[in-house]
Amino acid sequence: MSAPTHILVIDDEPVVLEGAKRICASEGLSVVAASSAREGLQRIDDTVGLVVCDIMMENMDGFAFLAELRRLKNPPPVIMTTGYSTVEHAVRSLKSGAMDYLPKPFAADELLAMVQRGLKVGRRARAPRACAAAKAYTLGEISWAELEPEGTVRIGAHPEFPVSLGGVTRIEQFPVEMEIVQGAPCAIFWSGEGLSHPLLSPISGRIIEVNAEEIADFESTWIYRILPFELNYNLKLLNPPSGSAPLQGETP
Amino acid sequence: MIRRTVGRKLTTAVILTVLLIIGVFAYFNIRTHSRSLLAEVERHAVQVSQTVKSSTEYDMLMDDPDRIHETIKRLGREESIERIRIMNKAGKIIYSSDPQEIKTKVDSSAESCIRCHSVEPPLERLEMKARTRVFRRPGDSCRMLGVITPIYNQDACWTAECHEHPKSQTVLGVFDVIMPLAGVESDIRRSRIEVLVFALSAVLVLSVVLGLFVRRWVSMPVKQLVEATRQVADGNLNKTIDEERADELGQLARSFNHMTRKLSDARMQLVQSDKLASLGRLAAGVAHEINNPLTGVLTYSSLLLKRAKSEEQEDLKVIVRETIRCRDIVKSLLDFARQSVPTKRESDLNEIIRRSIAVVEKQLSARKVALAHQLAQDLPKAVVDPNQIEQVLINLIVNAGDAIGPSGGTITVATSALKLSPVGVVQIKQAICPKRHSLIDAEVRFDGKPSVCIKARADGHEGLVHIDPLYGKAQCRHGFEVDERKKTQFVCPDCSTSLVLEGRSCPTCGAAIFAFESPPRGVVEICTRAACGWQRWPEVEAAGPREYVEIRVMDTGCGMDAETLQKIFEPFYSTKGAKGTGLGLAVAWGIVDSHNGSIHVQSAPGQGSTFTIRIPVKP
Repeated sequence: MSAPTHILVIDDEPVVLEGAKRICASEGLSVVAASSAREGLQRIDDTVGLVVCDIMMENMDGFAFLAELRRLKNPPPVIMTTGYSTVEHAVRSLKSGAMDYLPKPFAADELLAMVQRGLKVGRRARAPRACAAAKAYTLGEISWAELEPEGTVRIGAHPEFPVSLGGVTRIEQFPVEMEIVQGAPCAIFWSGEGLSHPLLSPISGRIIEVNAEEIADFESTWIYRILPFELNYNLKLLNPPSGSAPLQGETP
Repeated sequence: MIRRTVGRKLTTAVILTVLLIIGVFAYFNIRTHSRSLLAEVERHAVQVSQTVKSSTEYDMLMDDPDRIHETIKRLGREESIERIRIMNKAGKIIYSSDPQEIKTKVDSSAESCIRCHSVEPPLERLEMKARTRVFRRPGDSCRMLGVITPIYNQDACWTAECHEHPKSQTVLGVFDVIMPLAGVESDIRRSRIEVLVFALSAVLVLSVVLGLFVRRWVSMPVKQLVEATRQVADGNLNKTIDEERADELGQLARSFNHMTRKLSDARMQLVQSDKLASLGRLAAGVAHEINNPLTGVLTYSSLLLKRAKSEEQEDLKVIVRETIRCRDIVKSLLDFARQSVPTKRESDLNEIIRRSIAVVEKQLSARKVALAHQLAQDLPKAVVDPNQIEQVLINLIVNAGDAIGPSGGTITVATSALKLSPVGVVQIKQAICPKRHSLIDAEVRFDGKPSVCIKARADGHEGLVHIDPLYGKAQCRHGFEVDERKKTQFVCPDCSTSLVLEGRSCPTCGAAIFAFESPPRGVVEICTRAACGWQRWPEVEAAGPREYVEIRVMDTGCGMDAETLQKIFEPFYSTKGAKGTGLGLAVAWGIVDSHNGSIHVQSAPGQGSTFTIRIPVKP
């Protein structure tokens, strides 16, 4: 059986649908367009390998669509996109089970990178895996944050992230003193096809240390040490750690 | 229909009660009065009967009818006597003062006889009460009182020479004295009229007096209260009512004033959070609207870039790059706008500072930046949102660290408590004209604070004057040049209502004063002469100096020049190039402002910087 190859794009803005179609077509990928969540649900079938869905739509919004979709036995992965690009939307999308989050406006390559990842991840029927590190908060299956006793935070990539890329050739890290924002890119991962995939940061803050070592095991190796700006607020929007031990270094 | 006011209902109730009481009293009074009058007449009648009996007894024994006639006739002429007659046992009138009656017979059922003759055999003894009767015959001008006195048989009678009456007769005959009751009746009539007049005048006086007092003590305060509540309902939360009285209405007034003060405070809080909420909504709307069309631009231009030939590539790169930059700007805006409303509670600021330092310490010490603190003991606890204050402090300390740079230096955080008089500290955050238009102008700011804006008019020219909203800095103003030689009007920019206080002049320089209300803290008065700058805010002055907590973050870094100092609190202004978001200090300013505090910076190039934050202990 041939792998599902269609990409279902759901958005109420025609220009976005057209743009996505053109971009995917330029790489030989076929797009099925729907202008509402309901229409999208009707178009789900075994040939759909990936869904790109807008959050802000009338009647049924992206989150409602996601909830409906995950009731299916083998739902395709979903990439949430939106013009109302807040931290909350980013984080909520990931917490609700979306594979990734693509803020608008997006460039052709950004969409393509996401799409490639999505098609690779393929359809599966399991809930997001928590990071094995018991003390880490996770942002979907994208990144994790671990609190250190001194008040700083270490962040790294969720093991599923490089897997979904099909192997990482290079990681471009941001420099020290760069300020990063929760839900926004904090590093760029390059995959085999030469496409770049942004890693979304789990917390907002300033980079105070960059891990210079080669990272083999993403689950336990941190990428940055961060000085958090508003830790309590950020932590509320992340998936709590799987371990139930009380957390150190957490400011009350 | 008479309007049903409380006053009228009260008065009506009281008057009706009084009328009832007077009525019952009058009834019993008149009844007693007429009874006693009647009793008087009865006594008199009985006495007259006795007198007649005694006067005629001898003559009867002597059997001298002429003398008896004479006596009876003479007695009958008395004014108080209508008629006297003597009847024999059979009912025949033997003697009478009315000659026409003599020899006529009276029926035993007549009113004069019926008392005894109603039974068979007739009663021989009658008590006094039964012997009197009141009646009125047709043709009489008034009622009559009649008294019967039986003539009992005696020894002297049956042994008399005339042999008229046998021994067996018990009752020989009856005296009947009839007296007119005209006097009594007119007395009673007069009594009745007197009572009526009394009742009516009492009612009149009572309604006037009651009406006056009810009006003064009930109707007017209630009307005042109703008017005040109407004004509050219209939105004027500064309406207060006179609360001098010691009674319940005074308590009500005090309670009302307290309630409006609380409402006003609550509304201000709401307005604050409303503003933040609407800012968030605005940002969200804008972001959403812009990002969708930008998507069109970016997707197509990036597609073109991929396919473009080398000459076009550079130009397309610019388009792509700048569109991405738009995306980042909008995202920053959204992040900035999502600031939450502070949840304040009593907190120890020293503790918050220690925590913030702990977070940054290790990282800074690695860069040869020493962190020192001088935290005042017994620092009063202030009502703040601890997370937000921590956010501000970390931001300031991190900035200080950046300013110090690789050569190393020291950052000192110090706290102290102070009492500040309102002058130079309290900001006029609200200002309204008498018609309730806002005089605050957010476009023109002094030190980041929205100014108070009024319009000045002289000689056909007019212009806006912006005044520093910090209490005590009223001499800082710019705009229309006020020529002191000309008569200048100062009015509300919206409705042109004059703001000048008539009949008052500046205590310092004698010029005119203008004033406006700054809810909920009463009126602010300012001298119209800019050079004088006299200002008075009675309610704030009355509250006296307030307790503040002061936090200072000092660094030995590179300092900032005057131009930078002007702009650092502006959103998106950054001295760190691409590395910073430019929002840290803007957010910090917003947080301090929402705590009703102030944040200032002193700095000079090469001499480090000192950021001073002051937060009131009680908001």
